[in-house]
Parts: sequence; structure tokens; C-alpha cells
Amino acid sequence: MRFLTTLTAALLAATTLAFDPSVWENTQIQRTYELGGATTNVQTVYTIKALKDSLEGYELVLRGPEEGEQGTDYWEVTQGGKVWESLMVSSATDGRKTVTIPLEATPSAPVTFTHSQILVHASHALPASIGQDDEQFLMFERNETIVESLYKTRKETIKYRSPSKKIISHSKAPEEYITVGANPSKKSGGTLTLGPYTSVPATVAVSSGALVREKGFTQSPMSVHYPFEEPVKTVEKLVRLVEVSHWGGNMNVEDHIRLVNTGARLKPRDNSPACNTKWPDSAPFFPAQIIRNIIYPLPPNSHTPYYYDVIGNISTSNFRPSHPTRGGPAILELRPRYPVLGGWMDEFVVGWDMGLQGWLRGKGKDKVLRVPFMTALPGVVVDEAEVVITLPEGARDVNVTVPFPVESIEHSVHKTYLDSVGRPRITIKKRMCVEKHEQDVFVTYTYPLWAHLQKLITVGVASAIFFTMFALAKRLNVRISKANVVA
Amino acid sequence: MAVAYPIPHVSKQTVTNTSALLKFTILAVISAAAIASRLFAVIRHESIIHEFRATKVLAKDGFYEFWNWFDPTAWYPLGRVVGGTVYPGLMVTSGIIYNVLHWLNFPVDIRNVCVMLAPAFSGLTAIATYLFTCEMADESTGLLAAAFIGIVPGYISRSVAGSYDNEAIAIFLLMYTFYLWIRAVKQGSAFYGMLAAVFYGWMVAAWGGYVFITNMIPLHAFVLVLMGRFNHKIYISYSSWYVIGTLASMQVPFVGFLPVRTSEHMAALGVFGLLQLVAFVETVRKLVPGKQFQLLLRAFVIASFVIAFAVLVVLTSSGWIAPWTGRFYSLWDTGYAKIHIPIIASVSEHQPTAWPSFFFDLEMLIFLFPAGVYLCFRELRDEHVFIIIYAVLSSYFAGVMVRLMLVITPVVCVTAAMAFSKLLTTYLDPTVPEIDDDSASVTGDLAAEVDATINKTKTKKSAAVDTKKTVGAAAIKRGIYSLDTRFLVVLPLIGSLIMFVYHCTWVTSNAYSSPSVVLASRGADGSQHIIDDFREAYYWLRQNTKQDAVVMSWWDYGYQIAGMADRPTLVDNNTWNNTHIATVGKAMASNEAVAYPILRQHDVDYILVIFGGLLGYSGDDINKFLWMVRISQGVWPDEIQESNYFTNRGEYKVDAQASQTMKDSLMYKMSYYRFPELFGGGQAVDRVRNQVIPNTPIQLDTIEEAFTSENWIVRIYQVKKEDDLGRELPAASAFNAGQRLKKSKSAKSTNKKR
Repeated sequence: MRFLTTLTAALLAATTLAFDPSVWENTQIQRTYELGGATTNVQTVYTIKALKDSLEGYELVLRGPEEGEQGTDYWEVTQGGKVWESLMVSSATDGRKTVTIPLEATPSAPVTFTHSQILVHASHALPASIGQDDEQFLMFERNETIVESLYKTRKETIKYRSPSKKIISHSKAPEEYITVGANPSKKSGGTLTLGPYTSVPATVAVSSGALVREKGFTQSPMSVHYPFEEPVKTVEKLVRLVEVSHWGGNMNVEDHIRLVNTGARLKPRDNSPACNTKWPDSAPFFPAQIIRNIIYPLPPNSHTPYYYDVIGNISTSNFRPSHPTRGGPAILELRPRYPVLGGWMDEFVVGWDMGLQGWLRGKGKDKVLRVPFMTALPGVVVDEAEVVITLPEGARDVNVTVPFPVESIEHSVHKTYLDSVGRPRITIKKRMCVEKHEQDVFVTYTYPLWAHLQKLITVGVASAIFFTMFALAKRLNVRISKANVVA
Repeated sequence: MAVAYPIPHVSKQTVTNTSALLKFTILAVISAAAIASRLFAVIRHESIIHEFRATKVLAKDGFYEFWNWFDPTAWYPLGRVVGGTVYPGLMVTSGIIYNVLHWLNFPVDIRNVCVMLAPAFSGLTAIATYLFTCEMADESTGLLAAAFIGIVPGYISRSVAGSYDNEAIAIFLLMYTFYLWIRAVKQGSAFYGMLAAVFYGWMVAAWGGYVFITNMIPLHAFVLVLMGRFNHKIYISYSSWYVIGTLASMQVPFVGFLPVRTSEHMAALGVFGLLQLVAFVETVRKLVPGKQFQLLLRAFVIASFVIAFAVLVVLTSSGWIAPWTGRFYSLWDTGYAKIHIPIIASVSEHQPTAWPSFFFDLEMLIFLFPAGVYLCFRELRDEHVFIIIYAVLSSYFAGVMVRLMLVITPVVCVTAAMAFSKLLTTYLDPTVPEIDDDSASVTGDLAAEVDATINKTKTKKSAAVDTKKTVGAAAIKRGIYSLDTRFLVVLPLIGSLIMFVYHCTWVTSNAYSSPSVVLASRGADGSQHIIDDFREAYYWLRQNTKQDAVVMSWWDYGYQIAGMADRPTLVDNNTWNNTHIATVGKAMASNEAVAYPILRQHDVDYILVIFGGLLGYSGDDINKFLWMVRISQGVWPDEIQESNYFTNRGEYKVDAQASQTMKDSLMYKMSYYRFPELFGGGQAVDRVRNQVIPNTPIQLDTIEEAFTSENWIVRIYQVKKEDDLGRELPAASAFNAGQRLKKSKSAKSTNKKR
């Protein structure tokens, strides 16, 4: 096994060795940062042109050589509004730093495609702690300012867009490659524009299979300070328990969520009460950085939702089921037990039931189950996600297909109510998930007819044994003598 | 035989079979109803349960770990040896149920076991009551008694789903022990005596109220001996019960050697000795005739009884046998607790029972109760003596303490069922008493025989008036003659039964099914508002404070904080250390300068107070405040005086007229801190006490507000650490508040110096 991996690594190295930076050229790169709370959306529009005929595809840099495992946590490439399906399988967390876009190089018309990334935890609160009623400011920092590319770039602009039409300050923009005398940065309202940079050389190169910094080029870090009038929501841990019942035709989904407000912390030694007004109705003003409610969209036709925590039901929530005829998602509006102020944590469980139709397919005994990996919450980062799928007892030959690379997939057996042999259980783990990871996991398994009857037989046999033993015990005479017993 | 209404003819076998099936079904339905009516709380709200950490330990780590469990988080910094200072019956019972279910692959959460334990055991109580009543009267009475106990509010009040109290299983054990005891006495069976002892042992492990059984059974035996009803059956059953029961009770660590060393248990020992003597005398009497010898023996019995009693007194006074405990004294003298143990008197359920609560908890049963006791006197078999003793004792106890209403409830149900059943059988019995032909012939009106029965009675009555002597000889058979009399009695009876069910359901759903943690209110449009401030605050503590942060609050909330917030507490509902509670009371009742050293000495990080002034929640800490003062006054009479907290006119006030001590107390400051700000300059009205809180801002130097719940019911304050610069905290906060304040102060002092 080990031999095999070394072999593939060597092969990979051999393919990348053949890399030629002069095949392609970036005519124009436009990068836009949509500054946010826990997530930052980065959209880079590449217009590329082939310089010579080659079968070699365009090599897109996902992460700079200095960047570690973290950083980009979701990316996709779209062309003409369509997602490049063949690249979808990859994700930045699988460790790779470049991806090959299968374009055939013909030096005719330029090609345009968009690379969308979501950065997690790229901004932090500055000042780190504020009073309850103060405004919250975030600081976005990234070492990479000039877009990393293996090819030369003719023209490049970088935009930072603040969510609040306001930017407090920013660090100095790199002045290299700027037309002499021109201002490297322009600030108008909530948008900061850097560039245009012209004739930027390749910033990285491939050396013996690894991505290295091109000699003579240095990245200068960039930071932007901006107000953020929303809470910074991070889910530290999400455990989704999915249980399938063929008898009930039901799929139960239960999300165990540990939510943290990772924005500016509530200033310690602050003499103001944590929450001094009645919320939510009578509150005339509520500081923006407090998590007061979470809109939790459920799949269409979900029913019987529940919302509780360790010490019981949380009575503050609203459920709007999907329209009986038109369908559409059901909306669950959750309110935490207490308003989650900066640095505070809340842990709770959300669960619901939904019919199996639409989620389970397959005739006869072969079944395909579709399970949503997570529920998309805009702007929320899930640091650790775990999806646990429990199949009905008697299911065999379980296979899992995941839409993106994950850390681990484990199979185990779970025993619960009236089980004799236990139920197959799949545990999928993944770190750093964002809303785009709301995709489906597919589980295939065989479920023979007799498995439907397994529980009935177990219960039947158990009760038969019980009654037989009771009948025997009732008829057994253990009396020593036939003494007269007073009734 | 004449009948008032026709009865269908069915074979005897069919009647037996049908009645057996009916009995089984009715009993099953009664049990189900008993369980179902206790689920209001869970269905309306949810299963909220506070203190089951000990059970959790038992379920998670096993029995020995529980036995040795030292809980360092309760009674901080003392800690508490839980395994040895708790009646483990409840935990062990739920632990066993939990393990059996898990063994059967039912992964029930231990929490749900705890929540459903009380209703499940109430179902069993109904069955135990049925068995017990069957021993007293017949089976239909038993069914009636089972139905009564199943839904009677007096019992439901302590056994709704989620009330994880010792009483939850204790009443079942009480009734079952009594049933087995009665059976043992009736049969003279050592086997049933032993079974009674085993259940008694379980009862001892489960509830401190076992002392009631410990004294009930000996008293029953003693009274029977006094009535001259001593026989070998009593001897056998009592001896087997006492020996095995005492050994079993001594296995509980918390009880230990108490059964031989305290006064509460001496009655059982004395009766045991007495029975031996009586049995000895009886044996000798049988063998040796002769009046003088008997007299001698009788003298011997009395002498030894007196000597035994004297020895007991000597042992008690010399300290070998512990005298009655204070909690027991408070049963004899209701004023005792108020003077000597304020902590007991401060609990509302330890107050003497108010008259309406008898009707509230027992409804019509309380009227039938004396009738049932009277019926017991009519028959007066051994078991009826038991009922009479039970009725007398429990009536007294129920009058002394609200909490002990629970003890009277079973006997009320049994006796009421006896009375009710007697009424029903009398009036439903179709047999019409026949009049002797002789008496009819005396009147000379032979044709009246053919007439309607009403006429018969009339004529008979007139005849009786006319010729007393002649009719007196003729037997007047008692009974009911006509149908309308039957209807006249039976219909109101059925009506009252229906009313009883309605009353029970109403009381259960309205009075006893609201978890104390969640408050529900109705809006103007009838919609329900849930006020969940307690859990909001507890959960905040759980999620956002350090794991070992010590929380100080009044003891009422100790279990809730430990269970829901999972934080160490200074005092909790297990009020074993009066001094510690008094310390908390002192800290709450003193001013900041006095309280702060106490807080720091006990490592208090957070103080939690309950304040209902905004919402009108009357069970808040300001209303409990006088008890805090009284309890701490009991320990520090020099420093805390109750009178200081009243106005000059002797009123307990929180408005501008409140005494200075009151205004300076930590409790007052914490409750009303920033309260007037909510009213934006208007009059700040405390809605519980309907008083206007003065608008002068309250200055807190040593503590600071950390959390206030939505409706201000729970307010949590953080205790400041010592100032980094070594200043006094008031000085530091004055400095922080602004230089000018400090300057003006120093300016003043310098002026004075000049």
C-alpha cells in the first residue's frame, strides 16, 4: 500500500514536472473580496489566452506556497455561469495547491472563467472586546494581495467590498507594477480598489513537483478595517444524526450545534447588564453584533421539528411549514435561549422528520439514499462537521459516495430499540464547512424483504419465551406439603 | 325472593369469569389513568427535572461509585458525601430500571427513567391499594379505593411526571408493606412477614418517612395485645417482620445503627420484647393452671415492661440512645420549629395545613373518611384496627404539616372507598326485604300483600305505631324497598363521583402540573406565553462561565443550579448544614463591606438572585429575605437583627421608607440595581410589593452585573477580585467613576483639616 502511494506521488511529480509557464497568459484578472464575518467570498475573474498550441491545461493556483492547510475552504470554477462539474469533486482541504483546468490551448480567442473561493475566519474583531452597545469592527488580513498565478498577467485589479458601505482604514497597497505616479488604491464608499497592476510576472513556479515562490517576487500583506453590523457566527461543532426507517417511511434528522459568537467579545468588567431590555418585541434598539435568531431552512415537507438543549425544550421558536401545494423549504426560526453576545456560546439540538419519498430510491432490495450533508446558513462557518447516518437493521453492502473530499468515513454497528444484530452506521467527518457544502451524500445498500420482518420475529420470539416461562412457572408446584393454606 | 329490578340469569361460572376479567381490566384502566393524569406537566411543558446527578453517577459509573460518591461541587467548599448521606432507594430503583432496559437493548436515557418513575409507581400504588383494601373489605371496594388513589390530588401533588422525589416511590412501598403486614397478621405467615420486612427495607432505603411504618406496625400489634387479641399469628408475623426488617434497614448507610440507637425506633423494639413476654406468659399459662401463678406472671410481665421502659429512659438520658430529633419535635409542637429551627419553618410545605387544602386535595373523600372509619369500628377485625390507628395518626400528622397530607391520602382513599362501596352495595342490591306473614296478618289486611311494596311499608309503619308490642316481636328486616329510593341515593352518588373526577383533573392540571422552573402566562388573546427566565440564566451560566465558578444563591435554587447550570453551589435543597446556610443568609443580608470578605472567603464567583418585581413573580428572594435574616440571626444574633429590616412602624418595605439596613443589604441592592432605569424616569413600581422604588441610583462596588434574564427574574452578579493596585474596592470604583468625585472628597477632608 505504502509502495503504491509513493508510486502515485512520483507519477504526479512526473506530470507536473512537464509544466510549461509559457503556454498561457492572463490577459486580465479581476478579484473581488466580499468582506464578511466568519466567511469572506472571493471571486476572481480570469481572462486567459493561449500563447501556443499545447494539450496542457491551465494550471490554477488555489493557495500560495506560504499558506498552510487552512485558508481557502471552498472553491469552484464556473464558465459562462455554469459550474465546472469535473472539478467539483476537489476541495482545498485535500491538500493540493493547484488544479488543472482542462482547456485545450489554442492561441485564438481568449477564455474567461470565474474562480470563486470562500475564506473562513479571515477577519477578526478589532478592537477584540467592546461594550454591549458599542459598534463592532472587523479586520480582514491576508498575506496574498497580488493574485497568485503561474503565468504572467497583463492587467490586474483587486477590490475589497465592505458590507456596510464604509471602510475605516486599510494598509498600504503594493506599489510595484503600478503605472508611475498613479495612486495604487482608490476608496469610494465601501469599496477599496487596488491597481490596476500591469505586466505582473508569474508569482509562483513549480519546482520539483512543489509550488514555490518565484524568485524576485514578494507578496505584500493587505489588511482592511471595516465595521460589521451583524453577528459573527461560528458553529464550533455540528453533529448531524440521520436515522432512516423503512417501516415508518421516515427520515429523522437531528443537528447538534455548538454556536459561538466569534465577533468582538463582550468587554469584561463592563458595568452594563448582559441584556437589559426585554427582547425581542419591546427592544427599541438591539446591538447588531448579538445573535438573536437563526433562520434554519429545512427541506421541503419537513414536519414535527423540535428544538431543545441539555436542560430541556427551548420555547422561543417559530416554524413555518412548506406550502401544502407549492412546496418550498420549511422555515424554522430559532431563537437561542439567551441572546448570544460576543464571545458567548450556545449549544442546542434541532431536529425534524421528513418523508422518505424523494430521498430514497431503488426497486426491490437495492436502495439509494440521499442525505443532505448539512444545512446552509449564510455566513456561518462550521469548524467541525460530523454526519452520522444510521440505516435500518438488516441493511447490508453499505457504500457511501460523498460530493467532496472528507476527512474520514467510518462504518460501525449501532444497537438500539428492539435490535438483535444492530444497525449499520456511517460516520463522515469534515472540517471547515461553509454554506456551499450543503450537498448530498449518497448511500447505497441492499435491504432484503425479510429484514422488514426481523423486528416482528424478535419481539414475537421474545414474548413467546416469556409467556411459556410464565406458564411453566405458574404450573410448577414447589410446595413441600399440602398444608391447609388460609386464603 | 322479591327483587326491585330484574337480574339476567347467568351461570355462576360465567359470573366468576366475567368478574375476574372485569376486575383485571378495570385495574389496568385505573393504573393507566393514574399514569396518564400525571403526564399533564410533561405534555404541557416538558420533562424538567433538577436533581438527578446522583442517579446519573449510578447509571454511568455503577453502584459502588455511587456508594462512594463525594460531591465536591455541592456545599462548596465543604462538599458532600452523597452515597452515605442520602436515602438511596430512589436512585437505586431508577438505576435498576435503567440497567434492565439497557440490557434489553432499550437505550432509554436515565433522565427519562427518572421523569417517568413517579407516574409508573403511582400505577403500582393503585394496585397495592387495591390489594390492601381487598384485605379490609371486598374486591369492589378495592377497585373503588384504587380508582380514588389513582387520581386523588393529594397524591398527585407529589408524583407528577418529572417530580423526582423520594415520595414518588415511597407511597407505593408504604401501601405494599402495609398490605403484606395485614396479610401476614391474617394468615400468621412468616413468609408474608418476611416479605413485609423486605418491602420495609426498600422503604427505609427510599424515604425518611419510613419512621411512620416503624411506629405504625408496632402500634398495631400493641393495640391488638391490649385488646386481648394476642395470638400466635401476630407473634409470628411481628417477630419475622421486626427481625428481618431491622436488619434490612440497617444495611442503608444513612440509617446504619439508628434502629437501635434512636428514640423513634424504640417503640418497635419495645413491642418486640413485649410480644416475647406475652407469648411466654401465654405458653406458661396453658401448661400451668392456677390463678395465683397467673397473677404472678402478669405481675412479672408488667414489671419487666416497666423495667424495660426505665432502662430506655436511663439509656436515653445517658446518651446511649439519641433523643427525639428536632424535626420530630416540630411534629408535636408546631411552634417549635419557628423558634429553634427556622430553616424548617421557612419551607412552605412544613407549615400547618390550612382547612381548605383538605378539601382541595381530597374533595369528597374527606367527608366519607369518618364514615369509613366508623364502618371499621362496626366490624373491628384485626385489620380494621390497623386502619383505625392509621387514620388517627395520619389525621394528626396531616394537620401539622402540609407535606404530610401525603400520608393521610391512602387511608382516606381506603376508608372512603369502604363507605362509598357500602352505600352502593346497599342501594344497588336488588333484594327487597320480605315482611313476615305474621306481622301482616296482625294488621288483618291480607289483600295488602298483593299491593305495591310502598303500600306495604306504609301499612307496616302505621301498624307499628298502633300496636307496638305485637310488631316488636316480628322481625323487621332492614333494606331498601322501592326503586325511587335507590335512584334518589345512587344518582347523587354517581354525580359526586363524576364531580370528583372533574375536580381531580382540574386540580392536577392547574395546580400541580406546572414545573416550578417554567412560568406560563396567558396573553390577552388567550395565547400562552412561556416565561423561561430560570433556564435562560442557568444555561447561560452553564455555557459561559468557567467550569469551577462557584455560584452563591439562596438554598432553594441549589439543586436547580447544580442540575441545570452544572456549577458548584454554596448551599442546596439538602439543608444539612444550617451554619452554611446562615452564612449565605448573612452575606445577603449584610452591607457590601461585611459581605465582601465572606464572598471572597468562600471563593464565590457569581451571585444569583431571583427578582420578580418587574413581572410580578411573588416567589422571589425579596419575599424570602426575612427568612434569610432570621436564619442568620440564629447563628449571629449580634450582627444580624430582624428588627433592623423593618421600618420604624414595623412594616416590611422596600420603597423610600425602607430602613437603612435594608437598603444597604446586598440582597436589596442586587434586586433593585438599575431597576428604576427601566422606567425611564417614571415611577419605578415593584409589581410584587406594589411599592415605588426610589430613583436614587444604587452603587455597587464589590460586585458587578453579569447577566440579567429577559424578564429580570434571574439576575447574576460577578464578584470582583481584589483590586490590582491594592486599593479598597469602593475607592477603586469611585476612582473609575470619575476624578471629580475623588477630588471633591479629598477637598472636603483637606478643608476640615484646615
